[in-house]
Amino acid sequence: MLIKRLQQMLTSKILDLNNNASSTIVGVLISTLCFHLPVLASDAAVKNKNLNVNSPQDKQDSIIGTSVSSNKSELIEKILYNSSVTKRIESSENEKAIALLEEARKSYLESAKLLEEGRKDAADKKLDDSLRLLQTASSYVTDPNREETIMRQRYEQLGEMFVTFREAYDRIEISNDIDTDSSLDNEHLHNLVAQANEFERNKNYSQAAATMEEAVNLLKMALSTALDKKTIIHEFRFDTVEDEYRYEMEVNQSYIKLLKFILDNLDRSSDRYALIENLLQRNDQILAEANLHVTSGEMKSALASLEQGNIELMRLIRSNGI
Amino acid sequence: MNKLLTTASFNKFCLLIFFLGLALVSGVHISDSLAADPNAFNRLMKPKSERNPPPAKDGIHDPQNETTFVLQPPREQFSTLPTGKSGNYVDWVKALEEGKISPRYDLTDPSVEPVVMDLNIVREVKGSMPNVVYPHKQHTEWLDCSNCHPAIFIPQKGANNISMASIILGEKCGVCHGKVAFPIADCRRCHSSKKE
Ligand code: HEC
Ligand code: HEC
Ligand code: HEC
Repeated sequence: MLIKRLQQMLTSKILDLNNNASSTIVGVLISTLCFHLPVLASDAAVKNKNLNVNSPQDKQDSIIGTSVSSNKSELIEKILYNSSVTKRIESSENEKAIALLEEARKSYLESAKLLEEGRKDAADKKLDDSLRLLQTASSYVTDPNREETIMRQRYEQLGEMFVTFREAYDRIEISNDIDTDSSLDNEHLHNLVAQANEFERNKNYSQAAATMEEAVNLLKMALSTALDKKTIIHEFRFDTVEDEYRYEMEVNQSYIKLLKFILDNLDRSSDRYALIENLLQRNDQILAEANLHVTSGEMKSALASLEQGNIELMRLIRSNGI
Repeated sequence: MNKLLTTASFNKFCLLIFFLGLALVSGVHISDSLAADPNAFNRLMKPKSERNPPPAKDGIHDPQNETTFVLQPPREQFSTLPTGKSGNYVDWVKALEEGKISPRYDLTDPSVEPVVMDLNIVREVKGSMPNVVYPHKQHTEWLDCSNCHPAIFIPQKGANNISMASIILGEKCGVCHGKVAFPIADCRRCHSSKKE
């Protein structure tokens, strides 16, 4: 979640700048953060909130005109000097980590100097170095709070999965789609869930998650055994003409989207372009006609017009090689 | 989408994205960029000549970072794999079946094996368009149940309203198809069950 938020914030900047180079660099920065340094990503997300308190206009002003590196640099400065990960490293007794953090900061300062001198490429390299150093430093000092949060979320997600699959299994069993010598050991399953809940009550989230995962896996196995080599057919039918009309309307919209997509890839002066544009206009007429039928309560006629229109649109879509 | 990206399944999702030769950054803003324009992000719909560019030119990796050039270019990497008809021109399903690739299922634990489920869901389609066959088997070889259930699909007959419009807009099957799995333009691969 936090990682995603970080990305959203950064991408909004990217869009403001509308600058490919910056998006690439920030993108790489983000992926470094997300992949190797999730701790930092969440820190940055929290810290970065402060950057966004200014009005959108302020925000734009403060970004436009600044270089790519200084954008990145600002973010790294925050992480290096004012984040929970640095606090954690500093308050730990891990000399190795502390030394690495110092090195990372040194590298950052060198980068800032290079940036002032206008040597962007060199500055960027130093920034990357500092990130790498911090990443290594952080890996020496784990964050127990973060581990706990992750495990708690994992437990909650597994709980949701459990409920979903339990319901699916029961439904399938009742509908007799399942072989009766069910592979599911209900008592064992029940015990596992009780155990997982107990672990959760004692705030032992990692055990809670592990136990719940075992329960979910039992259900997954049972479902895959029960449904093995089966085919479930979802038939196509509607209860009312109104439902069918609504359905055809959605279909119509999706075809228009497809055709517009085809148009985007066609030469404007080509015959096919004109043909598609033509049919799209005719479709507007068909929709208007169908609408008239609806207002006068002739649902069957409305449906028939729309269906005919959709068939024509589809024919056109298919004839365009889709 | 949010659920897809909670830390738990995040790892698996990342792994998948990496395997299909795409980058994390893209995976994470799927839903955001799509809101603006579903096809702007759809790199798999690019003309053939523009597909699978080398890392320094793909708009994802940093061309100024020298390690970008250490990465193997996709075209070279893909040359030994079974070819597909669309997307990045690799038939990933076949590649996996033939043992040409053996992706690790879990980012942190190399011993985890997938729970593969061989269940087909056929969704009948009105009119002459062939019906859609959704195969669990090929999906669960790559993905965990939690990648789809319950966030994208509720595992219950009648509970999901799927249409081409939603797919093109990047929902339902379109959460992956057109981004990390074969693109929408490959109609026949989903609409694979001819009517009598
Ligand atoms: C790539 C997405 C995806 C993955 C991964 C996935 N499923 Fe599904 N599942 C679906 C779709 C799509 C449907 C059909 C939904 C519909 O048409 O309404 C479905 C339907 C189901 C159903 C309902 C069957 C019925 O009664 O109609 C069950 C049960 C199910 N899945 C279990 C699982 C299990 C167990 C796993 C993991 C082993 C799994 N699924 C993995 C997409 C997925
Ligand atoms: C969570 C991601 C995800 C979702 C959602 C998803 N797919 Fe897929 N699908 C994949 C991946 C990954 C592959 C394998 C890679 C490829 O073929 O590009 C695949 C492959 C397939 C295949 C090829 C099977 C083969 O034998 O070649 C079909 C057919 C398919 N998907 C249909 C669907 C349909 C229909 C839906 C929606 C009901 C759907 N998928 C939803 C990820 C997904
Ligand atoms: C990733 C799988 C997938 C691909 C690729 C795909 N479809 Fe579909 N399509 C579906 C699903 C799922 C439905 C919903 C079926 C239902 O109503 O239950 C659907 C429904 C449809 C329908 C019925 C009306 C509607 O719009 O919902 C038509 C027509 C259709 N598709 C045409 C196409 C065409 C043309 C293409 C190629 C450009 C295509 N599809 C590609 C999965 C796919």
